[in-house]
Amino acid sequence: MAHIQVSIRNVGNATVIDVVGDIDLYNSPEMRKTLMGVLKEQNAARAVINLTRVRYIDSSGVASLVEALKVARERNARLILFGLSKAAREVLELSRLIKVFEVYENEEQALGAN
Amino acid sequence: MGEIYQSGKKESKKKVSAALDCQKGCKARYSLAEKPASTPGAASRVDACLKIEIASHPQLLCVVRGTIQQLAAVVGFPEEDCRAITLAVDEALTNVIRHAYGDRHDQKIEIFCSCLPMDSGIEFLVVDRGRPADPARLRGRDLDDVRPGGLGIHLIAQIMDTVHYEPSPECNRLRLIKYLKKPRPVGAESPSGGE
Repeated sequence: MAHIQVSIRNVGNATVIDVVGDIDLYNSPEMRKTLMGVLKEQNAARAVINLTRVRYIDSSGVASLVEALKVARERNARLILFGLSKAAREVLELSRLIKVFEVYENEEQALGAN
Repeated sequence: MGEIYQSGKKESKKKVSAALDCQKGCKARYSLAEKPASTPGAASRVDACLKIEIASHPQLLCVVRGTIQQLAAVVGFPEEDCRAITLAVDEALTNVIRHAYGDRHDQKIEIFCSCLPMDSGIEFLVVDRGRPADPARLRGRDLDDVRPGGLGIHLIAQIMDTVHYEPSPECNRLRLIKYLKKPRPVGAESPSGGE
């Protein structure tokens, strides 16, 4: 019931993490584990999170993103988000974190960001 | 932004305890519920309300979200408010699971949903029998400190108009109210002279 799917693909020098499903208390540990693996074990220099198919994200999901951002910064890597749904954008705005993240509309923009 | 306040009053425990009796073993249950015991400061409710009863398992949160979002739409909230109200209730349940029940997944959580009179809004009463929350945590945290965690309380207070927490040894009750802001007719002036 309501599992998310998290998968990884390499595009040029970026690692794209595709997330599908709701990110809540039940599912956020799986996303967190993947993000930490990409940043710490694969040493990705540019982690791009595809949230196009995420309809819902709660504070535990936001916390996972913030933790990943901190790890990325510690390693001089970049963490980029794209494809935020209205719900995801609203949560980041309510949390006053929308400006903390690098956010783009779509994958092309996210991958092309300097 | 809603105001969070706390109450240590011990009123109407008998009635609440009676409402908490349930069939063991069921994971999620919906019913038209009796009105839970009223408390001072609570808005008066219509008699019919929806009661949702779930085990404290995170896997069930999506079930409650689906119901709350639909219910808020039925009451008349716009889409953005429906999403926000759903988030606030979800955050409240997350806090119960994580903090009141210490991530035990077999405990009982009840959510009483009531429409306020004349479709003026919606009220939720979240009841658990876990550890009362630490009052210090209810204040949330400084959002300028960018770090993981501690956002749930802040989100609830941002979204809901009233947030009232009543801890007690028997059960903890969190009351959340959101009022429906009805659009004024074009040209009408605010009674207070503007907002």
